[in-house]
Amino acid sequence: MAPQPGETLKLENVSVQYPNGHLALRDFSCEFEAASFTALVGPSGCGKSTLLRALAGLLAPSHGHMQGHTDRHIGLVFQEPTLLAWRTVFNNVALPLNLSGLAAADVKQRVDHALSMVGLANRGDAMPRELSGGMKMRVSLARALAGRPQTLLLDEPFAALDELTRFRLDDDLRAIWQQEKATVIFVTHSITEAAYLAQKVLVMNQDGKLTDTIEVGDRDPQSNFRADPAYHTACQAISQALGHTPNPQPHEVK
Amino acid sequence: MRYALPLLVGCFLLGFWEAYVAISGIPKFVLPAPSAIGVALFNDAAALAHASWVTLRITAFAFFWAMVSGVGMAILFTRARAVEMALYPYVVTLQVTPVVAIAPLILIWVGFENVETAMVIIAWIVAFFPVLTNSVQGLRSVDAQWHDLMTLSRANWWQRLVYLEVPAALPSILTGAKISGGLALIGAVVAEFVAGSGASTGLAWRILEAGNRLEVASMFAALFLLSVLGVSLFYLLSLLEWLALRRWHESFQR
Repeated sequence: MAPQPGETLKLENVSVQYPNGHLALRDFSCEFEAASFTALVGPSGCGKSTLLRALAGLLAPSHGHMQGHTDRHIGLVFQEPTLLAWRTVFNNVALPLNLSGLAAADVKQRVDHALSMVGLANRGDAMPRELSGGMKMRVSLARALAGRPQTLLLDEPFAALDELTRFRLDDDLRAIWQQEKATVIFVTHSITEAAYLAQKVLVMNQDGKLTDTIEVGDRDPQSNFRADPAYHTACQAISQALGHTPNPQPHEVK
Repeated sequence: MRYALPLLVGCFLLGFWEAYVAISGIPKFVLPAPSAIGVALFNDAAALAHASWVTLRITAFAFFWAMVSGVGMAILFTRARAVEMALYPYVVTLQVTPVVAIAPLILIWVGFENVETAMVIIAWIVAFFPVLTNSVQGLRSVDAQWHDLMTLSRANWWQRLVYLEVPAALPSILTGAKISGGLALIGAVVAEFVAGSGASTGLAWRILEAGNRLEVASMFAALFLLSVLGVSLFYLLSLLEWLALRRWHESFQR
């Protein structure tokens, strides 16, 4: 059922320069192991989204090259749900499959599976406008999953949601990742979200350069990771890498 | 209330009109009483029905071609910027040149034996522009992220058009259609005024004819039918819009 894990994604000295001369990504080298979960943090405008677009094949790098890149199996989730308002939830999730000419029975099976993964199994007939922000995001995630991606790219997907909804979606996303064995690359500007979700956090600076790589310690699946010292260590390391000196007591009680 | 109020106003105005004509003794070739108009409507029923049919036919053909050419050209314009740059000035020129001034030329070119074709062309010139501009605007304002989504799903240009652009532009296209429907009728009236002949007698031609004979009641009767035609057309197109958009568009969510 679960798709084959893809290959390691390898980027070597990748730079992206926009036609207006702006260098959004500078000499970027890194590896994304198959079935790994990587978070990408950095100040806004640092080229996180550019990197994601290059990985998705929507943008050609001006220098360097990318390896292990089979863009047939890429799922992309945008910051906005980007649902087509005139299609039902089911038909929104089915859209990429329809476009690829998959048989109707297969489409139905895959869409049903994707919707149940995000917890919307019985909302297929709803119109997007009838859903809350969190649910729309779930549909968007289901659409990316329905194509059974080897690589799942997420561009600040939960940034616009309230914190509680975001926590819930973070947990669900991790569960889906473990089940689907996809290589997940998650762009966020939230330090805590990056530390909570990822195995590895890449920190970028304003100039579009990769400055730090932080390995988040293994987690005990039985306990709440947010209470784990490894989580706080990771948070602190990320803040420091971003050039922010954290409060010596991160959990100051008033 | 929504129907009773305007109906009440109408009855009051008609009553006032009837009373004014009776009391002031104004000659009926200046202002006939509503009852006299009613009688004219009844007496000329057969001729007026035929005239309505002629005007409706010209309007419908002009509207149909305005939709086909307007949407078609809009698609062409949004797909090939060069085509737009090349043609747009001429389209604008055609639009701003008073159609009454072009009408004799069209009549000569099409030939006096094809008066109805000439009239359809004249009405089409009047009706076509709002469809074009509204469709172009609708097709252009499709968000870049949706296009990314289509690119990622490897949609070909036809799929992009059918699955994304046309439905997304539908609200704008239908707005253009509503304006164009009214304009097609105006165009048909103008066409009858400048190109009408005994061979093809629509409502506007009836008005001219009755005016020459000082049969003002008949003029009003034809005028009344023109209004009925225009209002019906508008509500028909509004109904169409409602049917197409009610399930998903914001403008129909209370």
